[in-house]
Formats: sequence, C-alpha cells, structure tokens
Amino acid sequence: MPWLVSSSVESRFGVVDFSVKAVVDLLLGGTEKQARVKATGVAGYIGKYLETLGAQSILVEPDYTDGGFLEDYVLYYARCHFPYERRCRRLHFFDEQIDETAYHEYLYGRPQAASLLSEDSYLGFVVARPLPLAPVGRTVLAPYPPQGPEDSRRSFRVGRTYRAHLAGSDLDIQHALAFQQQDKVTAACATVALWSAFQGLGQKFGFQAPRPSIITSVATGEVSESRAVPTGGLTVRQMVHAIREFGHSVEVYWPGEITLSLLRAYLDYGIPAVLTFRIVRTGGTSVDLADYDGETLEQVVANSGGADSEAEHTVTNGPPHRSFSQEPLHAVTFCGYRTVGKAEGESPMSPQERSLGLGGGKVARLFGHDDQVGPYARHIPLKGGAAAPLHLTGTWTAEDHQCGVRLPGQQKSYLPLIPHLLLVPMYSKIRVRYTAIESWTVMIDQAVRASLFLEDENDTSWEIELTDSSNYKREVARSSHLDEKVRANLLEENLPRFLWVARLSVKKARSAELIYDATDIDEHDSLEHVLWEREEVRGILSQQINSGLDVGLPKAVVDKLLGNADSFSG
Amino acid sequence: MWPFYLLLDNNIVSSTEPMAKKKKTQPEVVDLNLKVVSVGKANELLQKLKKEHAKSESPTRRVSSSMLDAMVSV
Repeated sequence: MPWLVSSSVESRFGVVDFSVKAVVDLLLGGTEKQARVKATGVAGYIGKYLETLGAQSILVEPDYTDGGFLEDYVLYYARCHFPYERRCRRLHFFDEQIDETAYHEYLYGRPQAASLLSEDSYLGFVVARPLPLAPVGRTVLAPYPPQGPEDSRRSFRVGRTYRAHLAGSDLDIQHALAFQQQDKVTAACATVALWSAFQGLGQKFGFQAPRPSIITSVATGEVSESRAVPTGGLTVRQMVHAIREFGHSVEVYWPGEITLSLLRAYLDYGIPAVLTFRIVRTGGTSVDLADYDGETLEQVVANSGGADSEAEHTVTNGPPHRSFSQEPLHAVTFCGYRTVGKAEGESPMSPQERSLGLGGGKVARLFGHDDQVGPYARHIPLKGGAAAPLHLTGTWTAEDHQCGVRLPGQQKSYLPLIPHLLLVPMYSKIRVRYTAIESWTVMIDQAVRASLFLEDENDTSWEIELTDSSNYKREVARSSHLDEKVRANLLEENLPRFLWVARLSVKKARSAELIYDATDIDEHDSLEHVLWEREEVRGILSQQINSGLDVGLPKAVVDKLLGNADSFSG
Repeated sequence: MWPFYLLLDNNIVSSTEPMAKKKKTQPEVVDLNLKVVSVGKANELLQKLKKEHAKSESPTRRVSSSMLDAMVSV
C-alpha cells in the first residue's frame, strides 16, 4: 500500500528572505535579548558579513541537536535551576532566492526543484543556541571570495571542508573555519580561539578536533587559580598546556618576533595562529591611520604600572594619550589574509623584514575569528614600536573619549591592539621555528650583499615558506621549466617530511632557493640543499669567500651554499 | 614555487654528468650588472651590514613566566 502524504502538510522548516535584521532576530529572538547582545554585536556582524557575501535566503531548521552544545549542556546547563533548552536552531544561508513554494516542491520530490538546495549557492550555517547572552554557536560560513578589491587576493588556507546535511542534501562548504561565541561558562575567548585553531589543524594533520568544554577541562587540568566551570578564562600557560595535551607542539613567539611575514608563512601552509593581545583603551581623541604612533603608545602602556592601573599620562608627541586602563588579554585565531591592492601602500614591516625584503609588507589585512566580533574579522596592520613591531586595529570600536584609530573614509574609530604572545600550534615534527630560518637568511643575505657589493637593501629580497616534501615534489612534478636532471634528482631525493624554503631574488631576478630541514633543531645547520638559478651570483659569492671574505657562516653551510657539498653534485 | 630553468647553470651537477638540455621556453635572462670588488671592500660592507642589523635587531628576550601567566579572559 502506498504511503499517504497529505498535500496540506506544512514544512517544519521555514524560509525567510535574507536581511541583516532577519539574521539578528532569528539569532536573538526577543527584544530583550537583542538589547543585551547588541553590546557584542556578533549577531549583527554575522548579518553584515553574509550581506557582503550576497546572501538572499535563510532556511531555518527549528529543531537541531548540536553535539558541541549538547556536551556543554550535560556539563553545566542541565544542572541549572533555570530550565535551559537542550536543542538549538540552525540557520542555513543561500546566495540565491529560495521561496516557500519552491522549498515545498523540493520536499515533495517535484523534479523542477530537485537541485534547489545546491552547494553552489550555499554560504554555510549558524547554530543558534538557547543561551540569551551567547546565542551564536557553531558557525561555519564560507570565507570571503579570493578576489579582493583593486586586484588584491585573499588567501584562506587554514580552512577545511565542512559538510552540512540538510533535508536530504549534502552541502559542502570549502576552505571554511568554524567559529563560535564564548558562553563564558564552558568556554571563554581563550577556549574558543583554541577550538577554532584545532578545527583548522584537524583536517591537515588528521585528528578529531576537541569540543570547547573538553578544551577548558584539559587546559585547567593543571593547577588553576580559578574554577574551571564557569570559566573565567585561561592563562596563556594553560592554553599552551591544552595544545600539548591534545598531542601537538606549539611555538610561542614573543611580541618582538611577531611580524606579518611570520604570520603569512604559517597561514600559507594552513597552520592557524592564535594571537593573544591587549586592547588598549586610552583617553583622548582619535587619530588618523597615518598618524598612529605605536612607539609612543607602547611607552605609555609600559609606564602604566600594571595591567589594572588607571593613571593620567601626558605625552608631548603622538596621539593625545591622557588616561587609560589596560584590560586583560583577548585572543583571536588568524586563518587568512589579503594582499595589498593596486592603490594601497605597503603594510608596516619590522626593520629586519624590510632589510630582507620579505613579503609581510604585501599583507594588507589579516582575517581572524574574534569571538566577540565575528568570523573572518579583518585586522588592519599598524606600525608598532620597539617592543612589538606589529600592532593591529579595525575590530574593536572605540567609544567616546577613547583614543582610537580612524580609518580612511570612516566615521568610526577602532582601538589599537598590541600583541602579547603568539601561539602557533602544529604537528610535532615541525621543529624549526620561523625565526631560526629568518636568522639564517639574515646572515646569508649579508654574505650575498657584501660579495656582490649591493649597498641598497632593495637589491635583494627573500620569501620564506613552510611546506612539506609531498607538496614540494608535487610542485616540482608540475613545473614545466624544470631542468630534466634537477627535476629527476629532486623527485627521487629522500627529503625531510617538512621543509622551510627560502628564495632569494637579486635585483628582482630569482637567484636561488635554499631548502631547510624543518624537522631538525633550531641551533643546528638545517640547510639541506641550495638550488642556484643565477650562476653569476653564486660565482661571485664563491670567488669572494674563496678569496678570504669571512661571512661568519659555518663551513658546512658555506659548502652547501657554494654547491661544494650537495647531494645533487653526484 | 619557482621554475628551475637555469638550475644547471652551476656546478650542482657533477661535471661527469652530461649537461641536461636547455629548455626551449627559457625566458629572457636579464643582465644583473653585478660587479666584483676587492675582498677588503666587500668586507667593509659586510661589517657595515652587521652593525646596521645589530642596531635594528630587537633585544633578545625569552618568553617570561609572567607573560605565560597572563590571563586571557576578555
């Protein structure tokens, strides 16, 4: 007997035309909640972000069980006196118009609607939790498109593929990284920043990313000054501990080392970077982006006498910092960046980055998940001071009487963010730090410039890239210009699993490629191979060193540099 | 990754190996107009570069215990 389906059955899912207000209403529900969450603005940010992506329709899945929230529910909310609900609502976003009739036709199996729920138009989903103050749960949205303004390019290599199952359709979202808001109970900002980072690492290195409540629990497993749940946040030490407990290694970079070139090197290989930073709230008036004085601000912060102090300060130069209070640290997980457009100037670089001509100056924006701002929040690089060469802004809005940074063409001002420590979680076999390779590069650059008598620092430039032997050999195999012999040698060479590759250009002509073993140790000479593209550069370098120029490099490195001890030499 | 079209213009490959064929699609090689100076002059520049680098280098610091104990809780 055929099943009987009433033609008057109404779908339980709802279809809503997209608007920013609709997103906010669906996430926050009643007006009271709306007023409270407005302070953080995450819901509004998500609405505006989706508007930028061209969202047209929202499909509302009203009864959704989210594994992550269920775990939080069991851990905490189920035992509250207040009857929290355990089920969530999930909102799906599409960049094409879907109406109620078409959706019903899809449900009833009408052929004309068979391809209605297509991943071509799918922009991702947001899980709305039944938590009045933190409704934005697991959120998986497509990143910005690769093409940026004025011929710039965006890169999101940290992301992975997520699959949403919706009414019988499997919808994939590519290159995305999951985001969520902190609930301040099972997860504060430190936990959700780590959670997003683990999501990014999970696919790359093949492990199941832990849920927020588990991260908090593991992080606070060691002696903790405050209770684990409700969480009051994590110390940086606890964040490091959690990363290690989940089987990863972590590189910790102090503010003086944090540069756009360093961040780009890790992001390009798909490794997320968790930045802890101080949001600097100073009194005064806002300054234009071009007038930002990071050095003076650092001095003011350094002289403040403690993280919780409030004091009056007067400075003679720079922005009019008069008073400020420093806040505890915040954390953001970087997952992508945008290069500079045609009309945009170079981004600020540290003296060492500038001297080496590294690619950091070409990074115009960093994109990161800030749980109090939203996913893929754009961070604008600022020239910092002696303690931290890179400052950021563009996410936290300055309020009245706060000294913020005014962006061109905008009324709003944004607070400066000064880096504290950068945590880069990664597979344990990547052992050599970016800064170790940069140090080798400084010495080799000096040797090349002195040998060739290049007084202008712009005559040489470098790119430093982290990769693995599979990727490297894949590129070698694809290269159509590769010399037959070198190609064959490279493809059969037993290379280390992870590699740092430093590429030298002399007078803008690509000249050499230095391959380092990233699985070695920092102090050891990890230079594996040097591939010269411009013989005249190698020739003069060799001539000068053989004539007695002491470049201060270990003999083993000099031999490899000059091609005297390379495995390709037969 | 860069194409390695000129890689054999050096002594990486043993002289006993037959020289590999040059690629037909080799791009035009721009003259870098490099000059060879005396070792003394090269050494002067090297010392100058090292001094400049030392001046611009951030003071070597390790991640301190207090930095690790800072609370991330905003």
